[in-house]
Amino acid sequence: MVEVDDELVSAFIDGELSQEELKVVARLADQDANWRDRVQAFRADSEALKKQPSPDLKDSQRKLAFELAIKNLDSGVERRRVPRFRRRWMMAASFVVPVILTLAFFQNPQSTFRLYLKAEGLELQARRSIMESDFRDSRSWSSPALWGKLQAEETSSLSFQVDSEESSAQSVFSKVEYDFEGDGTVDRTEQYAAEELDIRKGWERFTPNLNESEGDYRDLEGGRIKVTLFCSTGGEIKLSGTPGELIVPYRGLRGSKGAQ
Amino acid sequence: MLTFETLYQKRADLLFLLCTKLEGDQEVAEILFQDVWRRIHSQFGSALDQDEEIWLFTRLLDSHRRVQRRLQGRPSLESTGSPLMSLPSEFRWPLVLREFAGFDYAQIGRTLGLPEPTVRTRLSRARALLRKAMEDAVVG
Repeated sequence: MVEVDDELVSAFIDGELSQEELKVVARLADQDANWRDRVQAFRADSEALKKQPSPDLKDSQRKLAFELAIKNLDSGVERRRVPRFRRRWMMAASFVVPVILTLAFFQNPQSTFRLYLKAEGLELQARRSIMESDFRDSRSWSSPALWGKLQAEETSSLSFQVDSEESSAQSVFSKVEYDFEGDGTVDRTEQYAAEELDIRKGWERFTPNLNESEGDYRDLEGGRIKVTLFCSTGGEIKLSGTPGELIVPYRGLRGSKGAQ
Repeated sequence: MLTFETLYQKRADLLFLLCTKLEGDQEVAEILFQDVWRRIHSQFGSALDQDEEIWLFTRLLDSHRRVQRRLQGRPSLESTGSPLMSLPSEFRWPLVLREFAGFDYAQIGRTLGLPEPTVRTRLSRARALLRKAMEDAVVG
């Protein structure tokens, strides 16, 4: 059974009816004035739609679109080539740069001239590790053999983080000793100001001022540096897991493996 | 042997007409026209072994979607243009392909990825909506 509705009329004016539908429509066209009116209305709508004004394609637009289409292919080829070229450099750089940085690090492991007070000793490693421990009276850290060129305009700086294990007031002071040739002779000594610990506080980080020094700096040639912290009252001092840090005035500082 | 230039000469006017029917705004229609020809040029090699018209109008509809996405956020042009532009895309596209490109239902279905009965229903619905829009335009 063919249903006579707008969809049938729409398909009829489009010439898209099935054979069965065509038979129905042929009968309607002969007998049904209403059908003819509907078909006429659909055709009128279609014509009205097509008659709606549309701008013509101007020659300038025609030429521009053509040129852009052609140009786009050229620029597209360029765009593909450039990133590929850059990608190769980036890929090469991603291999080379880490190698250079790694070599530079081992050649010049402490370009910031920092040594860390760690559980094992005074080390060049930039990587921090747990140093947490405690000591009574004093605690020393010695470096491995070191080589470095003196930076005359720079100076030493020491910082550390401690907490008091005692209920009474204590103070901690520090000393740095330099043996520039590693022959066992202390060539320079730096005495830092005492810092008083507040027993009500937890961890306290100090960067004591340099009080006095004896001996001049020289280049490090297999030399050693020793840091000592003292507790003035002979009480117990707890050292933080955050390592103490000694900044020394040397360029290209490098050291032998192993701390003493 | 079909070249891009001969294709352009043969189809530029029709594609421009369709662009103006898909986009209510003249400026956007020009953007679409340029975009679709860039797309056609860049994919020209794949056109040679396919139905030329369907391939072209599929590129056109892809470009149309892309331009619409690019212009998202700008004031809608569809609601302010001609009665045709008041039709939702799913009804406007088959009607444009039928009335202005002369596609039959099978070609419309292949271009839009729709079964023929759906094309038939949408065209009927599109015409009903268009008639109402034209009546409203006359009354308004």
